[in-house]
Amino acid sequence: MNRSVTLARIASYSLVVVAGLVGLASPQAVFAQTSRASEPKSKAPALPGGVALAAMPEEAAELGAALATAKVGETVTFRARVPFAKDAFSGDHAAMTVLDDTAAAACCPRDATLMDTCGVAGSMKALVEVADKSGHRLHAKLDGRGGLTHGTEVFVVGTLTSLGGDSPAVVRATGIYVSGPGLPVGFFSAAAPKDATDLSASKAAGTLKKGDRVTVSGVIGGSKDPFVSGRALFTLIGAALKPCNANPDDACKYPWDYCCETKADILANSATIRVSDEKGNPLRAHLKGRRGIQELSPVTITGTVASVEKGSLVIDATSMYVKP
Amino acid sequence: MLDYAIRNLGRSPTRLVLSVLGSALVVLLVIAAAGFVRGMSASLDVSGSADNVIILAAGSEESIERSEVESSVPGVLEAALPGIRTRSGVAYVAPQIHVMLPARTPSRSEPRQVMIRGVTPTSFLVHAGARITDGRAPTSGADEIVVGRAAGVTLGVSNTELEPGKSVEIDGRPWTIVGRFAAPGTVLEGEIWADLADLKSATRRDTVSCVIVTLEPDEAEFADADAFTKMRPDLELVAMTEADYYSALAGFFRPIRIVAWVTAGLIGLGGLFGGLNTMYAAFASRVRELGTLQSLGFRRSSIVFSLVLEALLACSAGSLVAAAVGLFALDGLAVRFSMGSFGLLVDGPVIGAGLFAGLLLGFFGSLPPALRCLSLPIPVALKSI
Amino acid sequence: MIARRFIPIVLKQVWRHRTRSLLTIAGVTVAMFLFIAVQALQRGVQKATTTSAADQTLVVYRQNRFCPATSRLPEFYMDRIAKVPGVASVTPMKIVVNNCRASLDVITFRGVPGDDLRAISGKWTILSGSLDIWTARSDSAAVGERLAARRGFKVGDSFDSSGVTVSVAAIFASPEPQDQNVAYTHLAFLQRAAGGGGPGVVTQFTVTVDDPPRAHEVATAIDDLFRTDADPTSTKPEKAFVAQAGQDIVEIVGFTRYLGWGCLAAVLALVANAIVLGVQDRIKEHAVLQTIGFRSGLIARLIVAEGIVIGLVGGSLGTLAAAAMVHFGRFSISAEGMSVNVTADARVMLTGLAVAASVGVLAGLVPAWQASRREIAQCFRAI
Repeated sequence: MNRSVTLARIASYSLVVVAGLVGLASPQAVFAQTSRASEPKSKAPALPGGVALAAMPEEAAELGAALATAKVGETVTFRARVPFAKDAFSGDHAAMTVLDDTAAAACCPRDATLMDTCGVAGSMKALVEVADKSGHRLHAKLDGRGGLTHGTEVFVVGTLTSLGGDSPAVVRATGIYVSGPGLPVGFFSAAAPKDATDLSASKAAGTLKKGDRVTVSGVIGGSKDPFVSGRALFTLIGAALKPCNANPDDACKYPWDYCCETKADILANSATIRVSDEKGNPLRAHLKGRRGIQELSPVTITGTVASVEKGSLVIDATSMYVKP
Repeated sequence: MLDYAIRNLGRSPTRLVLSVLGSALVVLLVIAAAGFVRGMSASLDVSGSADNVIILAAGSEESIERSEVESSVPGVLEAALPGIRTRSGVAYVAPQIHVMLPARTPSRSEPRQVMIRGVTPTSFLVHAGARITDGRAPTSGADEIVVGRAAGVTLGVSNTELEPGKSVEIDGRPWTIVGRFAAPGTVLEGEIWADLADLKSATRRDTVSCVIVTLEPDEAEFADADAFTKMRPDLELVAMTEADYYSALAGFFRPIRIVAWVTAGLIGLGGLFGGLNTMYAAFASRVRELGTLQSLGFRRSSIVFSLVLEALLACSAGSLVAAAVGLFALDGLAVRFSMGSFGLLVDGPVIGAGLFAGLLLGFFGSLPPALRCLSLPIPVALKSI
Repeated sequence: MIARRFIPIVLKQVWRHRTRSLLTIAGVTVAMFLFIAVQALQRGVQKATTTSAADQTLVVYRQNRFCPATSRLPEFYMDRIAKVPGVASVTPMKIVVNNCRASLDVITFRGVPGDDLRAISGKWTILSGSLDIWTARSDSAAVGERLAARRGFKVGDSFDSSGVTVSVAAIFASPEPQDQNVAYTHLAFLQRAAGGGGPGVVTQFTVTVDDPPRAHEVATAIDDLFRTDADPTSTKPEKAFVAQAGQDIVEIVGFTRYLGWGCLAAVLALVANAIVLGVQDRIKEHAVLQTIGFRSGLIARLIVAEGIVIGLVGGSLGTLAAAAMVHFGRFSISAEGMSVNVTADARVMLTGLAVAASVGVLAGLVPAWQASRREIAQCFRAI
């Protein structure tokens, strides 16, 4: 009798405990979505100190502009370029020198050989360092980590620790986003090109052909998402079409998709603008947010016609002016 | 108190059996609802590959069947999009037609809507999980088809009627089954695949519905396909990953899943009220006995624990019965739903949900009555009838 | 059944064991809520698919096609259909659906010529906006009230679906089930915006006949006209077409019938359980009543009356809750461009109440019979 009671006791407790444990674990599992973990594409060692940013900070200013207005102790977010100089990276600490993109042109030899040093004014130069919690620079090289190398375009978020004079500003980084080779040096022009024509007029003339040098103006738009995430490519619309929010009684959620126009009209007044590599593939760089560009931003593009096919115009841009 | 609980269970075998069966029924319904929801979600999740990109007509993102893509697009895509997977010189580019057509076997008088997919041999490359298990792939010009392993469920016929050599009438004309294919866990198994050219001819169209390409992960990403569509606005195409397409389809069915859960919840609630009623009656008849136990020195908390344990034991037993029935009878049960079919998925989390529901039923079905019965002062309890 | 003076006794018996009664009523409420929801679904299917002799609308569709994206008929068929004897009017219609599969949140566009909308809208009640606004803009939509309520559309809003962006010009209520869940747009606009054949191609023709009993003849005549054409047609009364096109919905709803039966069984079990427990507690009391002159038949009827009260109270609460949910939720299941509106009309509600009362009677019958058969002395000896 005692044995059977003991067995019953063990069975009963086990029953309740097992049911309870499995049951308690179930709600999350039942509502969990099947997700596919995506393999990280980059096999390079990661940036030290956990400063790698997953996405490009969209409010980044050019380095020179950011330093011109910042004060010591403030947080700065800027875009800059690692020069082709042997002293760009510190040999034993997590630090690197970066230049404003316009100044970097002086340190980017055509054959990409490394110069000994880069003689650029302190206002266009910054020393970016990665430190530990107590403020000491990490003993780790940055060169080759997280995609960093000479000529790389970087976005840095950090605290300005010193500024002024001929010495470069010093920034203690809290976040670094590496854009890869990035856009060509000096891609963004400071002044509006004088010979720009409206894209609609250029297309209407019907004379564009592959290889033509063009300078066209328009606004960014043409679909719900005119940018391609992770690629230097967007669609441009000429002035002959008005965005939907130009109609007073139009309540379109996405006025830049020009849904109030016909598809034929959109095709006739649009072009695809890309910044491509030597093979003609769009660069792996995110454009939205740079220099504040977004949907319906007016821009002027200088470049070469890459293709004209059944009304689809593709322009390989060599420079871009963003109207302030 | 565990001995007391176990002995009391045996006092009224009828009541015990009713409690076990009642809780088993409620838990089985919860398992069925959870299995339905999990099966539907899982089949749509698994159906989409992260490396596959679907190129389809702009505006048809919610439904490929509406999409029309020029037949020249596959060639343009292969030439213009870098990073497409290639094996032995064959690019993983699969133009397809997706169309719902009425189909029936000779044994049925009424046709049923089934997804017919017009394919080329490269479709078996891009859909890596699809494998011909019997027979062969269809050839062009012969009105031949291969049927998915679950196509019988979609058509409402047994699998013996869909063996190679048999015939299916699609859109009023006979097509010969030359093979069967399996694509485990995906919605593809409920489909019928025909040769692309034959289906184009039968449906009198000169366009395809979409082009599915497999990208080599190290060489290309979805952004490259997206860029291609933006560089050719004349073609009016959009790109989306296959995973995103099926995920959006899963979202389309979300209201149905919510209804399934709400129904199961309401049934559980009804079961709870019934259980509470039974427990109140059962415990009410033992008020004097419980008063006696208190007067002997047993604490109220111990008695409550014992009463709740009684209910938990009965409900746990019912839950395990339901779990066994669910596992052996419901798991994999093919359900025909909205032009396709999928199998109920009764796996660990679903069983766990059922057991959890059973325990909740036992706990909340017994605690209020137990507390109520023990709230009476001992002298009143001892004098009750 | 029982005299009015005994009703207070019945109510007191129900109220005596408040907890038990409330729990039983709660369980009955939940079960009847589900039952009425199922009935509302079935009623919606019935309304959408049951043809009657007075129906005068035919749908001309592409033969062997049901998904609107696959049915393409040349618009010029309209002139030939109009000449078929018995045809009163023909309206070409293009239908665009965001997804042909069955679900609760489907957006359906119906493109019709502007003049034809005036005829279609004859039975409409315009709730907001106006058809004049619809006429003035090419991209405007007149939205059925169920669709507008489901998506929160107001006049002046823009929305897009299936690659088509429209502006809401009017919201209307219609007695026709298929109208309540769609957005009517201009035919030319939809043909241009949605593709799928482009101008000159429509999904279906809606035909009204001048003599409803001859509708079948007219349908056959239309199909004979195009039998050898490149796009043969299949013409059916509208509701029969919905029944066939909405096969998926009809099957799902048919399956829920079992759920309905299950709910009734649950109600029966719950009420019977409560009655049995109640009767067991009152064995001596019933003996006393019999001693003082209550006949056994009356006692039996009192017990049955208890069952009716519990059933009716729970049934009423469940029915009202379900009706409110259906009314305010405005649910519809759509598939292949067709909708079935979940409808809890007076008929459904009265059926619910009648069923609840009947189940209450049924639940009380056996305990009532048993109680009436017991001998008085035996009852006094019972504990």
